[in-house]
Amino acid sequence: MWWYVGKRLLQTIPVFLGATLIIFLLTKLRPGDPILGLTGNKPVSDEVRQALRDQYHLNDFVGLQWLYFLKDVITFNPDFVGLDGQPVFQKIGNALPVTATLALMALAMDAIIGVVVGTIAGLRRNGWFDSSVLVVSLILLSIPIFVLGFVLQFLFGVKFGIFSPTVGGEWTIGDLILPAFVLAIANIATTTRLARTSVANNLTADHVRTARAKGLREGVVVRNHVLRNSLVPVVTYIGINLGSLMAGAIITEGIFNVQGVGNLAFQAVSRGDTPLTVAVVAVFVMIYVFMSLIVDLIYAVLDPRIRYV
Amino acid sequence: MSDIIPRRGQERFVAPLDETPLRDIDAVDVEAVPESQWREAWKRLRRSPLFWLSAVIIAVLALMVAFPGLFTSADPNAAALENQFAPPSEGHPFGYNFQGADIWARTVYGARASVAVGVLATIVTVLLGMVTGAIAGFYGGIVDTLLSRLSDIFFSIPLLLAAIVVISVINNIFPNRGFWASVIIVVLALALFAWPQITRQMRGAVLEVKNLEFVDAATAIGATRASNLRRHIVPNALSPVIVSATIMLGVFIVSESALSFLGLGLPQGIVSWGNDLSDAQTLVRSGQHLVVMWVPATALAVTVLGFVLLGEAVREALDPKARKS
Repeated sequence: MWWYVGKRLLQTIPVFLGATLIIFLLTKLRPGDPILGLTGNKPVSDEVRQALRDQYHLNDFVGLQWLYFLKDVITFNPDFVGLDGQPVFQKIGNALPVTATLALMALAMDAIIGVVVGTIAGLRRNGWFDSSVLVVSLILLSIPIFVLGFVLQFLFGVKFGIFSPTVGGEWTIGDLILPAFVLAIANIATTTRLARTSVANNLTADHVRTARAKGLREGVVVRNHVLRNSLVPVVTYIGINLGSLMAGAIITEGIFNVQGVGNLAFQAVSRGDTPLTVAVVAVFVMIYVFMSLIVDLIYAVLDPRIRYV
Repeated sequence: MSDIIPRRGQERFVAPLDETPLRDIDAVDVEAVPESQWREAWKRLRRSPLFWLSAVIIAVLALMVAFPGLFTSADPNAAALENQFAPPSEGHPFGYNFQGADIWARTVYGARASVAVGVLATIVTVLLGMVTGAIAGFYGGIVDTLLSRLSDIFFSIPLLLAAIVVISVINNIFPNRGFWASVIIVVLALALFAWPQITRQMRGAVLEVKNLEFVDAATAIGATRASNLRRHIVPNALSPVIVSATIMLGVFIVSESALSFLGLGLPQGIVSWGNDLSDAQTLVRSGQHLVVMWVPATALAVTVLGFVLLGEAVREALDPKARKS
């Protein structure tokens, strides 16, 4: 098992290097003088320009610039600054808690609502509950997230005043309930469908029939034999999606004015701030990679047939 | 013992013989050529009400894309400020938007851009994913390792974030573009980071299929490796990819509108649902003139629903597991 974890951690290295290199090269393709962006389009003397270009390693070969970037990221260099002169890691560190809370809340809503509703629908396959869940989840899947976000923001934030419509810099868990729900909606729909199909398929499995034949009570059969087996694909889906939830936060954070990583990423990309953009993407990639490792390990806990060597 | 109530699936353990009379067994035509997988799937598809519902939605959409003039006689680009938020009138069923343009006409003509992005992005993604997945699964070894690691790299970057980076860079290189150039850029930005999903599915399906007996049989009668892959393995490994592709089409249409919402989709001058929705966002905040948002939002949602339903119907038709229960 530890051998497997070590092997997986080694495999993350090429993924991390490749992903940062791709984004790094992409942002380097952007035309325009980064020094002019830095100085607010004011003309600068040649000496200052040279000093700045040296500071950002802009005179070096692109591959070498990427290696400098890697060094700064791996050592968490506090002097590693973006094009606006502010330390990158401090910025990310300030923005990460709110996005992480948002994403984890969305994940919890996704897991709880998705698994409970999906299981009930799966146990009563083709009943009225199942059919209405199917219709509602298909409709939720089809509506763009920002349309739903604006409508819910208007209804619950402005019209009824239950939640605060925007979050802003000083945030509390309560402020994040509505944004987290908006963020989770599309995933809830998919998790529900997945849990429903998985439970329904498992109900007809041989080991479930054996459990019933042994005379176990229906509750025990469902809890120990159906649910546990059905949860494996559902857990994968929920876990893998933490990364895409954080990326989906770009939209949700825009609607509710959350000062999180999504907002930071969007600003960095639109300003052409290469160091900040690549650093934020690196954070997203790391989260994705570690989540998929954790999901694989949970697999083994849920399904004892899976052994990692 | 009498208090044990028989549960579902437990009442009867052996099927009574009289349910299948002998003449029915005799009536099975052993000589008949078995129907192909696709013909069988089509038979099941025809019986599915989901499929017909989605077919109607997609047919109407296709008509809207090809002949927008059938649905409205107004010009989507004609805007007069005296018509700002004017109420519905004859020939203008939903009234006018902030710029004084006909809301319905803009929605009808906007179908073209959204559908073009969805369809083209799906085609590019599926082609890339199918080729890489089939090669990785079939040849294995070092080729498989390289392709799998490459797809891991592209898969690890969230799609929306990656598309934002690509489009914002290209926007700075080519600021002024026509309709098709803009569509193609959004398509490439989406497809470039979406293909690994198809690659993984295709690779898994090819790994499963390549060890089946009929592949050995084809090899035994002298089929080469390449023709085996093309004629026997790929067609039999396609079903999960087809299901994903239909759902992906809907996802791409939504992604285009999300990118437009961020100001990074199609340029403002192009009539598209994403641009109309992004224009409508300030109105929604104040809760006024909601019709400006509802019309394109409903069109988009119904379109995506059409493709999601099609995906569901095709999945049911192709998946032998779902058929049983």
